[in-house]
Amino acid sequence: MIPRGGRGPSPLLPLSYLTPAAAAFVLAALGVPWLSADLAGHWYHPRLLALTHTVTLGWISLTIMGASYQLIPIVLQRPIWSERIARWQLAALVLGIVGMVAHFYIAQWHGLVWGAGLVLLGSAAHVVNVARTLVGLRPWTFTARLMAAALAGFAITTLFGLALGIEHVHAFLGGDFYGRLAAHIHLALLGWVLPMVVGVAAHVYPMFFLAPDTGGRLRSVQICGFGVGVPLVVVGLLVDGRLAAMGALVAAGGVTAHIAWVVQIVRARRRPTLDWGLRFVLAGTAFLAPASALGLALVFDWLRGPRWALAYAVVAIGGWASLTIVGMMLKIVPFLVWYRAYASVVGRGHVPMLAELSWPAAEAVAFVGLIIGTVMLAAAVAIGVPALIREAGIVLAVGAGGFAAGLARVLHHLVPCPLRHTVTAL
Amino acid sequence: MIAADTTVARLLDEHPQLLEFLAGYHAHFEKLRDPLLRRVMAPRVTIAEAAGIAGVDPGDLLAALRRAAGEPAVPAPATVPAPAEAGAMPPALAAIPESRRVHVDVRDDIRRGHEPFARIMAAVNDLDADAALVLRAPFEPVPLYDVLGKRGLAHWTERRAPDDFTVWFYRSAPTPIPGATAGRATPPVRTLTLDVRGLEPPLPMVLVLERLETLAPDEEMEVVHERRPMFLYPQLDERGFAHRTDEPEPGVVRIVIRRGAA
Repeated sequence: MIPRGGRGPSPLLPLSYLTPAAAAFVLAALGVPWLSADLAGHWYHPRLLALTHTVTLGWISLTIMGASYQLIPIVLQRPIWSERIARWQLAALVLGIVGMVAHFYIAQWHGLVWGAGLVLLGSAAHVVNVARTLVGLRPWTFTARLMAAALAGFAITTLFGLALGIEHVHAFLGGDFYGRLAAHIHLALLGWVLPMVVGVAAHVYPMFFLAPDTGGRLRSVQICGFGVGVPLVVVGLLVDGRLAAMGALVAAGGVTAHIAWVVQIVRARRRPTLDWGLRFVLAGTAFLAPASALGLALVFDWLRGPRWALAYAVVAIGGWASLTIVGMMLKIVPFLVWYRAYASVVGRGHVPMLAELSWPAAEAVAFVGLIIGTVMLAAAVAIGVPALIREAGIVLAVGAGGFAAGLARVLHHLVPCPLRHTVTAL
Repeated sequence: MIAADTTVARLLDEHPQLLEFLAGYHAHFEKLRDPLLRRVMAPRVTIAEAAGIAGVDPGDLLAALRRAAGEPAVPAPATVPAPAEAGAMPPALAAIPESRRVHVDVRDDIRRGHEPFARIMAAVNDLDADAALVLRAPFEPVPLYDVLGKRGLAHWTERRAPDDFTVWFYRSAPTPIPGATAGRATPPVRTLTLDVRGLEPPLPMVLVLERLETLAPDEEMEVVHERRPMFLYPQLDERGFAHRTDEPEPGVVRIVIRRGAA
């Protein structure tokens, strides 16, 4: 017999991460039209670094950590090692991220280093917490392996980022300046976000799409593609462009296998209609193809210059990562809220269905606004026209507003409301 | 393989094309075209029960569904629920005065796509021993007969119109639990199986918790799942159910639940 489940996962812990993450996303979307003139220039600009870290740390990393604290008990079938550490970690991270973004914005490097130090502290707590949860796990599934790889990538990314911050105050790193920045960005994107998203997707997509999981060989290709390709890309960006190009090809093979697996899942699904969360997930996956193509074109020098690099970042971070995460959040948050508000009443009184918590109209606005806005923004930064960037930013902001409204509608079920007669009998 | 105990929801998940087939098979099944009604009823009603509701032969329906799905024919199920036959009101029920009758009308709930089961069970839980539950529904609620029968409730059904049924649930006589001994726990003698594979969360949890509310002391429930339900365990603990989990084969998790401490 397997031991019983132990203590239950807390739904409020992941929500405490996902809520500020969503706020960061909306803030970043609002920042795009505000910073349209800066976005038309070179990407290495303090205010653009503030915008980038609002997205990568505030939005993507906080979401991944929060989602981890919900999904780890499901995916790994064991409770989190310490929920108390996870709460302290959140405080350090939020304070650190706000400090980093603010000091990036005003280009104050000493303050930036302090903020980065707090982020490192919170990140270390996350790594320790998840690593302790993984200890003794049997069997080491595809998802568990990618989660472990992502944790390693995250630890190196934050250390590398802190080193880059200190470099602004006391120069001690040798080598090419832009090469280091590119390595840091790709470490975050391919070493942290990619394996985590792909690993979690392997477990939850069959559940979301009601499809049998048939990814045996494709999983091996993904593991090899990411395990070999990503280190080559990062090291290559630091020391030798040819190594980076070779690694990019191998990593692209892994990405292609992931896309093929998602297509298999969609074809084999038993769910007749897709909700907006799943449409976001599929749209995010679709952005992987142009993101990979742009990445390869840049590493092989078929495309050059900071504008194409910025367009690549928009497609990869704003398209693939953000749309996928929005989709997962639209699936995860309603479940957490439903569980917190209604699970104890099931069987004893009337409870709403999960779909009744959501707001499909707001999610539709988010879908249209975020996809059109991302495509427009990628094109606008590639040609460097501030007016077009501003218009793309406004469309993005409308989409982010729809996303925030949809989430707010779900979250309001956590607040006791005597007028909402969803619980009719106790 | 389509079986008599396959739920309509599972049938339509695996064979969505059978929706139109069912709708054309009998006028009762045309309601399944309505997505709200389908969402509410399909997970609860087995094919045998659906046949009972429509008043068609379950064996014929099963054979027709298998043919339409391209599956081989097999013998008809041995036991099927009989369609409602409204005779005279039983004396025990007629003796219950109007003041002791609890009326629950779920027709609007079902039309709006709301799940009525929880509301019905809440009314049953509050039902006094000398009272009757008068349920009004747009179809004959055959699955409830078995569920409430286990709670010691007999039923009497009146068909007012093709889409309007009134069912009285009442206690006809005290129903002692077989083998029960005062002060000593009775070992479960009957196992109910609930297969929740292929359902999106939180539906497995909802189905399990709703069915557990009607679990008799001499029963245990075997839940067949695809993964360990980490969010279900705390709910079971809070409600005082004992449970144990094992994996009889890769990808299949079995949770056995019964009333009482672990």
